[in-house]
Amino acid sequence: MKFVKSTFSEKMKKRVGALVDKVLGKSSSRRSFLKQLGLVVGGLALAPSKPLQAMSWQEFFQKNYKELTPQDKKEIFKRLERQTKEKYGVDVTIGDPPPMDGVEYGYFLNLSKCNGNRKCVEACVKENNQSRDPQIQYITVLEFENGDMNFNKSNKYYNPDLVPEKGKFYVPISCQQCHNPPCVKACPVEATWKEKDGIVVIDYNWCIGCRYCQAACPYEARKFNFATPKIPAEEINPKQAYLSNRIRPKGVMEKCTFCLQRVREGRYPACLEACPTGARKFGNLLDPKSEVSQILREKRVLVLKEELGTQPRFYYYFD
Amino acid sequence: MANRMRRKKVFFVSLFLGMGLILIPLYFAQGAEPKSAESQKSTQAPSNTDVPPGDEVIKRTRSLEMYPCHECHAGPADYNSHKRELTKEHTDFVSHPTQRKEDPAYGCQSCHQEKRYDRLRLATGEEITFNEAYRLCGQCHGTQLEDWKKNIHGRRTGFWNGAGKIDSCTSCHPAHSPQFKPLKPFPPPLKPRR
Repeated sequence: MKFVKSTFSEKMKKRVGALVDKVLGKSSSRRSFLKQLGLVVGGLALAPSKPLQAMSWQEFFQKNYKELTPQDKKEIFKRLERQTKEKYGVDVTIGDPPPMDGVEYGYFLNLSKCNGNRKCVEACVKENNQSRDPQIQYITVLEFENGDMNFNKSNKYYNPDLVPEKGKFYVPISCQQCHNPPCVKACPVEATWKEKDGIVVIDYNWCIGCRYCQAACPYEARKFNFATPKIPAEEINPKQAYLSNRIRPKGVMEKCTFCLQRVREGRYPACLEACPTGARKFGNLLDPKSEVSQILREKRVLVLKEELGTQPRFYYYFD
Repeated sequence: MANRMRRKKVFFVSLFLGMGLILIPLYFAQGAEPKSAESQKSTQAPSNTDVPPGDEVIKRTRSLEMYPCHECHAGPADYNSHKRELTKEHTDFVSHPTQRKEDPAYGCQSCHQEKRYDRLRLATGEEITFNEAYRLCGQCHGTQLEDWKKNIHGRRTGFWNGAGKIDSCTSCHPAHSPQFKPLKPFPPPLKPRR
């Protein structure tokens, strides 16, 4: 069965490639062009527009992540590893750590401590293989004047020699992993959903790139790959996960996943480990003894844009 | 040709001498080490009940080895308990807390063990190592100590559901000028192209 399938895909690839060559390169008369146009349109309906050679039969007909069997996943991960090797020349491993039982993640950020040094941004870009050109960064650090939290007056391009500056405070914003995520409701193809540990994930292979979720997100947390990500080969993080930090294709959405590939193995997110001020706290909200539960009970906690009812899992606090 | 050979020779000789210069003090510093390690053991508190089990407070003694107090303050004669303007290596020390700058009773011995500056002393008179500096700081900064024990204040790396490493107070707040230092920020995001 497998043999038949592969030869069929080979044939298809050859046929479509030949047709495109014929029409784009060699067609001379109007009549022959029109004759072949119909055939090509048929071919294009089957296969997507540009990288005809790159898109295999299996890839085009890959199911949504939630419908994949373990065997499917194994094959897909192997294929993605091979493709990364071809494209970026780096050996990577793509895993799929499952959510833990009895765990719901919460992230806390101490606004009294954060001094806006952006070390978290740097660590995040490296850990999650974000495109350097065009630039994609999950964390946006906003600078506010003391006494006001008007987002319209905030500045994300601040660049003094030393931070913090007098009379300013800083609010890093990334995906808030809402309990009630509007992006998930906006997605027309169910390419994004909330996992049981609370992390909102994206199946990059199922995403159609319509950017509805970007419009729905009130925190501007979702970023779009307008071009194929460019990452220097030596900076690629080889430890990747299917739903989080594997290198994204062009034309899909991406966002913070609480470093799913790290936290589901018990480690801290990369931004937390990079923070020199100790402003970032992460843990299990369901465990009453965890630091995050204690912060929730003892400190003055706030969430951004509370009135929207998104119920973020990312909290800010003061002390 | 001969000139090049000579240059090479000079290079290697200077390299050798340079290595010697680095290695000799290191040898002496190590020679002094076992003594302090031995005495550390005897003064360490029996068990660290302040920190969650499995967690480790990042040790400070190792990073202070290159700057040992006993190198200059060797004998009882080398200690001056009079309050005065600090000189030599100590000019960058800020009086902490600043409001007690004029207090004649407040000086080196407020935190350091008398006649033995490689150790700290609590208000109770108990002698502790630099590794337990949080017990000393916590005498005044009780709220911070309480938060630190619960990992609400300070930095912890490792595993959120397992063993972790906790920074001690003095890892982030230098003991003699404890204010958190300003940092150079990572460059801002690029502005969108028009």
